[in-house]
Order: sequence, then structure tokens, then C-alpha cells
Amino acid sequence: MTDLGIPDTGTPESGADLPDPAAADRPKGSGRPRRPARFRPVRPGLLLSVLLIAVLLPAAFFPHLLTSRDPLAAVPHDKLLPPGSGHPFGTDQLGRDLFARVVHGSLLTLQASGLAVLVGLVVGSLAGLLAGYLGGIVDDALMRLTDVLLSIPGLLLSLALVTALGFGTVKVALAVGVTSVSTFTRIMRAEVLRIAGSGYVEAARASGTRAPAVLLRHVLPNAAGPVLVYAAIDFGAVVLQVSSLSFLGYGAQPPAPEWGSLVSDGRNYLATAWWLSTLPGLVIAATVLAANRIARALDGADTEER
Amino acid sequence: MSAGTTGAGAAPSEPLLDIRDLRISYRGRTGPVPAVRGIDLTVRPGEVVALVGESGSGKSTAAHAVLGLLPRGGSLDGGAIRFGGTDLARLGEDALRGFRGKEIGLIPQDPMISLNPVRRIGPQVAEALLVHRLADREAAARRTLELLDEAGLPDPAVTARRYPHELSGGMCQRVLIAVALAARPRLVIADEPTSALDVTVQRRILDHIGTLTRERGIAVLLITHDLAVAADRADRVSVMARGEIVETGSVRQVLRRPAHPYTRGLLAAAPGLDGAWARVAVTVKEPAPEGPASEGSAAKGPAPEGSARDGSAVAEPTPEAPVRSAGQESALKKSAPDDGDLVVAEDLVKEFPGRRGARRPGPRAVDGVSLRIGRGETLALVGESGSGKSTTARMLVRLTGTTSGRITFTGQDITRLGGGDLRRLRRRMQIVQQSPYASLSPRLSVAEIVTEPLRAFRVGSRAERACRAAELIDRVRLPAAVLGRRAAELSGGQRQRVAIARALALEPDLVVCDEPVSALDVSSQAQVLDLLAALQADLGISCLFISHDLAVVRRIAHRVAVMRAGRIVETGPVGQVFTRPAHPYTHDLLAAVPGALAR
Amino acid sequence: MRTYLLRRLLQAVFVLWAAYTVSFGVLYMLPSDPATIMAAGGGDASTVTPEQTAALRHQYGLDRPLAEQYGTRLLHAVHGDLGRSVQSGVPVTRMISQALPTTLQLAAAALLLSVLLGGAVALLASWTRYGPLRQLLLSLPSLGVSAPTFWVGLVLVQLFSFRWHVFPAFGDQGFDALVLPSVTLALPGAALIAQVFAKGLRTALAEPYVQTALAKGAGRGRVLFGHAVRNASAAPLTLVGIMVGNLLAGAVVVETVFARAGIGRETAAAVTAQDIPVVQGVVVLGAVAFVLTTLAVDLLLPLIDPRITTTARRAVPA
Repeated sequence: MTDLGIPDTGTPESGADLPDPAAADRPKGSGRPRRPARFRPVRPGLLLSVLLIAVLLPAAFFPHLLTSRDPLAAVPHDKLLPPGSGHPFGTDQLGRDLFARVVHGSLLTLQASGLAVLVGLVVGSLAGLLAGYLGGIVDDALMRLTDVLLSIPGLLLSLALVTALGFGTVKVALAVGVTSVSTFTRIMRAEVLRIAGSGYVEAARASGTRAPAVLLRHVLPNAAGPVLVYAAIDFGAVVLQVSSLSFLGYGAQPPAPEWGSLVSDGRNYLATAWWLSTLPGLVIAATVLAANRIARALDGADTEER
Repeated sequence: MSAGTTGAGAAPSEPLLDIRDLRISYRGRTGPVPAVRGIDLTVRPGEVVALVGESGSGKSTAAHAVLGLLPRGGSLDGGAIRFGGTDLARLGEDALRGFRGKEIGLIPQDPMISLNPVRRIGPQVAEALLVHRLADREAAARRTLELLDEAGLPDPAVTARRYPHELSGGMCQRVLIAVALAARPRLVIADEPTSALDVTVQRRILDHIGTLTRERGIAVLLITHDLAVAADRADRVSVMARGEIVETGSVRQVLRRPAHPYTRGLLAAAPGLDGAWARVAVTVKEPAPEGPASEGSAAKGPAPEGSARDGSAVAEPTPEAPVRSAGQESALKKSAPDDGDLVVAEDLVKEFPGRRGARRPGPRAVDGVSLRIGRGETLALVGESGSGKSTTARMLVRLTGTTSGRITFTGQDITRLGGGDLRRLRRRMQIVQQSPYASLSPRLSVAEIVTEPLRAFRVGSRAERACRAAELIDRVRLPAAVLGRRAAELSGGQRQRVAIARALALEPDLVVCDEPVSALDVSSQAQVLDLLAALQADLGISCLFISHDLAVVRRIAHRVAVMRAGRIVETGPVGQVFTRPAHPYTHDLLAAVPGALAR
Repeated sequence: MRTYLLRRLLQAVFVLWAAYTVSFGVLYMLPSDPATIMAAGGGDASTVTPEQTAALRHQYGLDRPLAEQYGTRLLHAVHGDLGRSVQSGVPVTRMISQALPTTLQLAAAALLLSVLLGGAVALLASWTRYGPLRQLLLSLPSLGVSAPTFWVGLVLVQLFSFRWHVFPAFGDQGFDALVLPSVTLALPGAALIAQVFAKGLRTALAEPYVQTALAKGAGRGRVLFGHAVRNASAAPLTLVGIMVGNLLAGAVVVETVFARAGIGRETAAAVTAQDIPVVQGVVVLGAVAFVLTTLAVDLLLPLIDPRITTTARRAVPA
């Protein structure tokens, strides 16, 4: 395979002056023109997203920072209270504080999501690096394998893994992580190929640099960006998948709160206690929205960098 | 050139297009960035006016403003664009639509991407008539065939049923000419109409635009970066720089007695074919000649550009280039001694693998090339994009394998060299790549880039390498301050110097320069070429110089090999090839260089 | 064309075989012991006696070497026998064929809705010149992909069934019962289509050929519908091909939320009971759906974009 078809993005001077209005404010060879260009008017959506994640992430590890209530303490007298001053999210059928349960639920859900992304990132990147760098039979075999993994709908693959592994938060995380592997593999492989075909790697080869040095000095640092950006993009989707499996009841066992199972628990009280499934679900949606928004910003910054 | 105007309003002497104090800016990150700063420009009926400037000068922006087609982020800040009595700058979108196509046609820059890829040619031409209700569907289809025929396309009925990707770049541009002229406009704006085409096609397209518009009395606003093209085709020239028009006048006046220093710079910077031509800028700047569009078309084997590779090109009078100056001759003798050749290639063949699963191999990119490079000699390999010249070079330095053939380097067969032997060979041959934007790692500092070959061969200590980096940077005439910078902070010309410094780091015997200036501006082109020539003479290294640009080659090479479709059609000393070309293709190439008509 | 079809069919067979093998690997080869899982039937594994496990192991041929098991099971699968459900003893193929129609109904309705909704949002966003409306329309898809399906379903039930009593909350009888589930299932797909199509339209509208069309004097409508739409529709079409398999997977959640009978609910039940043959059957079904729809899409693509020929495409779009 020759990579003649890859468009050469590196020749900004080749076109006429028309399509690149930004070129005008990029003085050539004077000072450091790129750095100050980063500052932009503050984007409210992005700011909100960062704030939300900044609040949620600590909650995933230190839930006590956000609530002092015990998520498992049932107060039968206070059951099914609507959201109010004492209980910002209301209480459930056993009188447990829903806010505390959501906060403590983020512990399991977000850690499981993080683990799933990590599995995909590590396994996928290694496979992609091998495929792109070794090429030949290894590449063909790994690519066929990703083809097959991608041909099975992600949720079904996760369900098969859950069936085999059994239930529980960690197992759900593994099951979801495996479905991300093939995309990470493809991105890493594409990056490795792109960079291996780039002018500077050819120049390094032509000047006698050994293969491992090329890999460490040129390929990995340049490939890491897009792969990490995809990890951020994947995170939102993974949260959704993890909570779907939890909603279906394959996650943590009952008293322990998880976002998906909290929504599921509220199903029997839809008509009478709307907050039980609505509010935890809203938290999931907001988290995913925020994660996606941040990932998009990272993606934009990354694309711009190159 | 005050030939019959097509009625409607303007008297022959009155300008058809009259731009006054036009100001355009783009929305930048820190506020509006002016692109056009108050220019005046007039085009009289039937007149050809060239607007010349380097990329980024604002010439295309100004031209597109006439049609009200500014790109996203552009805004018209002031001024008037009077066309036959109407100020287009004040018109709304709907009113402007009545002018576009009907009164003012546009011939765009890159024909391969300027036609809708998913629609057949015929309807796209007919659309120009249908939107202005100049014909019903049936008549438009009939008229389309006539238009395609006028534009010089063979077999209009067949062409009309084709898709753009089935045509060559030249044919696409002919289709776009048909589109622009369909509604018989009074003005045609040709925006770098040939800069994306091969050299030999360029001239025929420009000729055709010239003929069609002259016959119909259509005025032309020709946008170009190439003074030579302007000189050949225009009645009057306006030179634009940094958003302002710095000089306007008749062709003769501007070229003979350029008043503005910028124009003089442009004229001087362009590498001339010889002394007599030096007053005319001669550059054939193809943006990214190995780019995807041209490669794709070459690979798919589109229909050849008409049947027009005919006698007319050959019958063109040969440019009478004078013999090399005595000094150059002696330099040639001095630097091409007889103590054996450095590199000899015999019967090189490169076949790229065909499509996955296809039994037959793909087309031969290089088909039996033999060449030799003497010690201290510069050999230029010249050809159009897709002729296989880059592949040949990459085979020579063993960056790509050879299908068959033999390469010897100082008498040693290196064709199948591998492992440590190949690495030791790398030390003696280096490459300067085409695009300095791609060939420098974005993450390393200039010092790291330049010393990379030294690191690879563990030459010297860290301090010694730093010292050597400073020396090399000085050698390529860059200030020492760039050592700590990253490639992204340098201009194209500076980057290419860094690449040259890197190639020289190990003091190689052979440097292969693959189109080293084709991605650069005219002014940096000249500087980099001078640098290369000086370094080659100083260090006595051998050089293989790949170029599509004959003018550049003349300036730097001792011998020339002309390549076409994977074969070398002619080899010889520069003087001989340029004055007495033996092969018709070389003849054709020489004749096609813009500027030939302006002599 | 015929050789292309033949090659694609071979490819499809390969993908199916590979999907079967992968699911076999996951379900039978992972360290967990299928027999114990089956004997426990989703309950506590410690209550299972070794005798029970051994009996089951023998009954399902799990005591034979793995390669032999794989061989016989694959051979049976080729003949259309995917084994029997551990819970009910019913052949898996019969279970699937009985449950498939209602799920297909749901998936087809959802697919249609996502294409219509997604296409409409993208077209309107590209058409309108009113900035705030465009911003609003373009921000809808990111909401759509962020909201969990199960939650959207429950919120719809809360509003349309319990508050306004427009549609039934549960069940699978009649058209009314199809509305909420198909809307729920359609939303993520619609959001994806809208995103991809809007991006495609934006790219297409910035292409030089659009400039050419504008320079001819063409208006916005002509440019959008005559030039941009067709150029922008290859990517969403490819997406539709991939979506069908995901609709099947999404049905697991949606049918659970709305208590509809169908493949999805059977799957959820099978996973809960760790009914390995049924789960494998559904995984293979998912792969079949994927292979068939991508094949259909690949055959359609050349009609949209003549540059795509039926000679150079691979099985799975990257």
C-alpha cells in the first residue's frame, strides 16, 4: 500500500490567498505567533461543562465532600419526600436521601467508566502501535479482528461478556472497555501510519536514525494527542454504556447505589414520585453532555495544533 | 483591444468595471484583519487586465468581492464596485445573483475540485443557462453541447455524460470555461486559472481563454501570481502587495520600467531562463505538484488532454537561449571531473503494488531509468508531476525499494543493501524534501532537528553537537536565534534552510533535493536556490536536483535529464538541452514556459 | 459487478464465522465455567452441587475438548441450529424467529424516524439564515447523544402516559404502543445522523464547486438541494448501515423500559439467567444485521457518489 492518497496538509502556501483568511494574521517567522492565538472569548457551555466535571470528579473519590448523609441509611418516616430543602433530590421509597445516593453512585459509575476507557486505551493503543508499526501479517490479522469486533453491536458484545464474566461493577467496566478497544486500535494505527509516512519520519530514516529511536522520538509523541483526545470523546459514550448495563441490573448488587440502577429503581414510582428516576438520569445526561463538550474542545485544540 | 462591446450601457472608453477604494477585511481572532486596503482598479470593455501578486496579497479576495462571493469571515468594509453603472457593493444577495454568471463569469483556480463530483458535466453547464432562464431544459442541453465544443472539448455529447473525475484537469478547466462563458457575460474573472495544471496544459488553456474572449469582446480580469503569464496575456497589469495596488500600467511599461521597488523585487527574484529573459519573471509555480488531485488523475489514467499534443506546440519557435557564459562552462568542467561517477543507476524499474487482491501489478511509476551522477556534479531531473522523478530519487537513496535494476554508489552495489550496511550508506547520502512544512517534526527545536543525523550516528558529545548545530545554521545563513525555535515558528524559506542544514550535518557525498523550492514563495525560492548553488560549489558535493521547473534547473544544474511517463527521454549538459533540445517533449516543455511570448 | 458481489458475500461469510468464533471464545473460553454458570441459573453459584455441574457439563458436551465442542457447535450453527436455551429448552433459532417480528417493527419505525428527524434538523440548520435558530438546531444533536436511552424512555412515559395520558406506558399491542418506544429508540440515531449530515453539508457548502454554482447565479435552494445534499449524504448513509445493528442492541434497553415482548427482552432475560446459547444466538444475529445492512449500503453508495466504485471498498467503513 502506498500512501499517495493522503492529502498533504503541510503546504499552506500552495493555494492562493483566498481560502485561508487566518493566514493574514500569522506573520511569518516573527516571534511566537501561535501561543497568543489560543485565547478566545470565554464559551459559556464549555465553562459550565468544566465546572460540572470539576465538581463531579472529586465526588467520585471523596463523596463526603458533597454530602454528609449516608446513602444507605433508611428513614421510613421520610419516605418518598419530593425535592426540598432537607433533601435536594428528595427521598426514595425507603426514605434514603436521593442526593446522597447519586453522589455516592458517581463513585461506582465514574470509576467503572474510567476503568473501561483505560482498558480500551491501553489495549487498543498497543494493538494499534503493533499493527501500524509492524505491518504485514500482524497488521492484517489485527485489522480483521477489529473489523469483526466492530461488526458486533457494542452493547451486545458487552452483554455477552457480562454473561460470561458475571455481574458486578468491575466486570461491567471490563465488558464495556473491550468494546472500545477496536476504535482505539484503528486510531492509533492510522496515526502511526500517518506519522510514519510523514516527511519528518522519512527525513529521520534517511539520516540513519534507528527504528526504535524513530518510534520514541517521532511516532509516539505525535500519535499520543489524537488517541488521548479520543479517550476523552469515548468517556461520555462509556458512561452511557456502563449506566445502561447498570440499569438492566448487571452492575453492583442492590443496596449499593449506581446511576443506572437508581434510574431503574425509580421505575415503579413513575406516576407518584417523578424525581426518583428523573433526577439521577438528568445527572447522567449532564455528565455525558459536559464530557462530550470538553472532548470536543480538546479535539478542536488538537486539530488546530497540527 | 477596444473591440466591439456587447452593447448595454457602457461606451467603449468608459470602464466596464470600476473599483474605487475597495476595502475588505477578515474576521481575525483579535479583530478584523485587513486583506484589501483601498484599491482602485478599472477594466474597460474587451480589455484584459492582469492583477498580479504573491499569495496572501489579497488579489483573489478582491476579485471574489466583485461577484459578492467573499469567503466565510470576510466582510466588505467600504468602497465601490461599479459594473456598467451599478454599484455591486451596495446590492443585496438576490440582485447580485442576476449579475453572477449572466454579466460576470468566473473561471476558478483549481478545476479538479470546482465541479460538483456527483453530477454529470452536461447538467452543470446547462445550469448556468437555466438559473437565468436563458433557455428551457431542452434548448439548454443543446446549447451545452455547443459550449463544450467551443471550449475545445472533444466529442461534446460523450463529455456531457461524464463525471468530473473521469476528466483530466485541463478538460475540467475547459468545462469551467464553458460554464463561465455560457451566458455570454461581459466580464470574465479568471482566478489563477492554470496554477493547478501541468505546464504544457497551462499554455493551451490560457490561449483558449484568450481566443474565446477576444472573439466575443469579453473583458477579462486575470488573477495570477506569475508576472510572465500576465506579460503574455494582458493589456494592462496591476501589481498587488499586502492588500494594496502598488503599480498599474501597460504591460510594457510595468515590465520595462517598474516604478515600485516591490515590482522590481518580483522581477529580480524570479529565476530567468537566461540573461536575456531575466527582465521577465519566469516561474512555473505549480502548487504541490505531487498533490492528491494530480496523482489521482495520473493513476486513474484519465482521458488525455484533448488530442491537442499536436504539431502546434512543436512548431512554436524554439526559444533562442544564448550559450552558457564562459564562467559557467569552466565551473562545469572543474566540477565534473573524470575520476569516476559517484552514483550510477541502471535500468531502474518501480512498480507499485496494484489494488489489494488484483493479480496484475499496478502501473510502472518508473520504467527503465538509467542515470549517473559524477562527483561534485549537479544533475537535474526534470518532468511534470507524475512522471516518476520523485520515485526515482527515492529509489536512489534507498527510501523505497526497486522492482528491478541496479544502483551502485562509489562502485558498490547498494540495490539490496540492508541493516547496518544501509545505515552506514545513509551517512553518505541525504535528502532535502519537497515540503518543508511536512519534513520538520513539529515537536522538536531547530537545534534538535539539525543534529538528528549526528545523534543517530552518535557523532560527538552533546556540546559538540550543539556547536555543530550553530555552525550549520550559520552555514545556511540563518540567525543563531532560530536554534531554540520550533519549525512552526519559521517561514517556509527558513524551514527549507533548516532541512538543508540537516542534510549537510553528516557531510554527505550526495544530496538529493526533491523539488526543494516548489512550496516556497517566489522571493524565498531565489534565496534558497542561491544558497544551494553556493553550498554545492563550496563543499563539492554531488547533487540530484528534482524539479518540474525548467527555469530553476537552468540556474543550478550542470546536466539535465528530462523525464516523462517513467522514462528519461533526453539527457545532456544544460546548455545543450536548453538550446538544442533533441526530443519533441523537451521542446514542448521549453515552449510552454510562460514568458516565451513576451520576448 | 458479479465478482464484487461474490467477494462481498465471501467477506460476509467470513465476518459471520468470525463473529461466531469471537462469541464462542467469549462465552465458552473465558476462565468462568459455563456449566457452573448454567447450573446456578443466575443465582448463587455456591449452592450448586458438583454432581449437578457434572451432569450439565455432560449434557451440553462441555466435558469434551474445546476444539471438538467448537467444531460440532459451528457445524450445527451452519445448519441453522444454534443450540437450545438452558432455561426453557426451546431451540434458540425458534426463540429468535418468534421474537423477531415485534422487534423488527420497532427497529424499522425507529430507523425511519431517525432518518427523518436527523435529516430535517441538519437541512433546516443549513438552510436558515437566522443565527439563533441555527445554533439551537445544531445544539440539539449533542443533547440527543448525551441522554441515556432508558431515562428518555422513562421521562416520555412519565409525561405522555401518566401526566397527559396520550400513549400507553407499556405493552406491544397496536400502533399507539409503538410510538413512545420507537421515538426513544430513534433519538440517539437521529442525533448522530443530524451531526454527520450537518457537518457534511457545511463541508460541501464550503467546497469550490459550490462557489462555481454561486458564480453561475444559482440561489441558496438550488445550491443546497442541487449540489450540497447529494455530496453530503454518503456519510450519513454509511452511518445508517452501522446503526441497524445498534438499534437491535438498543432494543434490549427500550423493550425492557416499555415491557414490550421481543428479542431485546429475551436477551435481557437470557443475560440475567446467563443462558449462554441464547446470548450467543443474539450476538450472531447482531452480526448478521450488520453485515447485511453494510452490504446494502455499499451497493447503494455508488449510486450517490459515482467516484465510489464497487471495486475498492472494504467490509467495514473506518
